[in-house]
Amino acid sequence: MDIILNVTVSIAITLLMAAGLYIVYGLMNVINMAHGELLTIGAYTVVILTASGAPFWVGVVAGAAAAGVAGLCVEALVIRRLYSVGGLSTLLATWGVAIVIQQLLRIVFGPSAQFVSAPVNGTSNVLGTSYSTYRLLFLGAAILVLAALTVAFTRTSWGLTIRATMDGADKAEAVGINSRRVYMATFIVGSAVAGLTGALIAPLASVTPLMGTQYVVQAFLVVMVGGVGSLYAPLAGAVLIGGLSSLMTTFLDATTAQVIVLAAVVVAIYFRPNGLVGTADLR
Amino acid sequence: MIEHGTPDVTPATVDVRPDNGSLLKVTAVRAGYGDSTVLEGVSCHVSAGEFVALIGRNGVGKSTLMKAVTGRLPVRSGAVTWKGVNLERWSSHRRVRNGMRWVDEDRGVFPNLTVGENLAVAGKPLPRSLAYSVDAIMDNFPKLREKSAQRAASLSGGEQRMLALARAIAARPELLMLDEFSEGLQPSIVQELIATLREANRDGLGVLMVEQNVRLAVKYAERAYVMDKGQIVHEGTAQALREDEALLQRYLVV
Ligand SMILES: Nc1ncnc2c1ncn2[C@@H]1O[C@H](COP(=O)(O)OP(=O)(O)OP(=O)(O)O)[C@@H](O)[C@H]1O
Ligand SMILES: [Mg+2]
Repeated sequence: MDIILNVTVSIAITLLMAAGLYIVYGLMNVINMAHGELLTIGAYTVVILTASGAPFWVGVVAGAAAAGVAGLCVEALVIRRLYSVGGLSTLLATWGVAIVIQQLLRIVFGPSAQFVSAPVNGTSNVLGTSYSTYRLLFLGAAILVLAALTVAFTRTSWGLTIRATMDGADKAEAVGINSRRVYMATFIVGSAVAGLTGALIAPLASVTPLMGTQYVVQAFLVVMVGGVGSLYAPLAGAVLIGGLSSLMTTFLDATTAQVIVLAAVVVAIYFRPNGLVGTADLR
Repeated sequence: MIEHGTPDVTPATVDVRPDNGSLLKVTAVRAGYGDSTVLEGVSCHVSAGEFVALIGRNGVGKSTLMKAVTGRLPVRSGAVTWKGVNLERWSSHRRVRNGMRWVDEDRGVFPNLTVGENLAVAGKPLPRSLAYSVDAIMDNFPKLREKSAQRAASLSGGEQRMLALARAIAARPELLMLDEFSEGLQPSIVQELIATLREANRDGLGVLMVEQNVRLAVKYAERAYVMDKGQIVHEGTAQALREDEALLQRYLVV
């Protein structure tokens, strides 16, 4: 039971982390290397707010908002100027943005780790086993956010506009959609989801200026392994990567587990170069 | 106004309409890709409610002109005006919201959206005066209703063009530009779609029909432009063009 919960929570964390990246990559074809730093911004927002006495959940909402605002700046100042150039240049530019954000955080908060205490302590009883209550809350929040995103994407007119633009900005413009604005809104939402994830992770992790990088690698792998073009794609990627790594660390030491996960990624990409589920060509 | 690049070809017929009613006016437009210039000073216009054909052989720059007019290719010199307003710096979607529409060679339907979604998304961003009801379109195109839950990519070429035309006309634009609309379609389907188009034209829709299929274009148009090597080489009534075998031979018949 413990293992099942661990694996589930790990999949949820991985999926939530990949969600923002996936939205932005799937729509805009922008590989946002600063995704991890947006997550870090969310975590630091919680650190600051809880330290000054605000409730944890206020910090979470503010974390999402702060990352959303940061995303707005990144889009307006950097990415927007590179749409016409595409691929590699946005990757390099956002990588630069990532380093700038890391260094700014380092200057303001210092390199050492900060900690946030969870809004709830102790364990709860789940079908006979006791499990960390906060992790359960995290799982609930993750499912809620992912469900909300899915509904927004598939059922609302906002989602329809985004899906249309995903099918081609040129075509979207031809029916009167302001594709630049859709890009901007999407980037903000993707950034906010990253910030939210960082805020939720804060109690489970040590918050450092570099924390984003360790999570973002997994998120990239999820998008690569899952592919794009289907909502199930990131889920498949998260199940493989988050699930497998959590399962492996239960039985093996962390390094060996990591090697096995990476081997699985290589095998998956070898046999399904467009992703486990995805339809669009990634490379 | 920059005058260089205007073709030194005298139109065979004098324009039959006064210019002041022009919806779309293209003046000495030069545009191209990278180092190459495709449009070498093109001038033409479409008045409200007019049916105009733009014809010419493969690769003479017809689609390039459409891209320049719709805001997808920068105009290097000259001007595109819409109801007297210079469209320089107007994004494509802004042109659409102001009553301009087009159906590209690739038809422009959203392949991963359903037919119903394709219709819905194309009506939504419009100002109220142009917005339409998806239900009303489907009443006019029963075939689209039948397939409304299907992905647009699964439609046949003719059905995709019907979808593109239906949603364009439903938005009640003032000008609709069609690029190679008849290409690859069965004549019977072309007839059916043209009938729809002409009905809208009678209700006041301006049409600019870009075609390689000369016979089709001059059959329905009032006025026609012939393009060659990035320039307008002839302008006149469609009727005059229909009867001018020499001209047709020279610029059009392959
Ligand atoms: N994206 C592009 N990049 C570079 N050159 C282009 C591009 N699109 C078109 N061209 C070139 O511009 C010229 C005009 O092309 P255009 O598509 O406008 O012709 P067209 O009259 O529409 O031809 P067709 O009847 O075959 O559609 C051609 O020589 C073509 O090779
Ligand atoms: Mg063409």
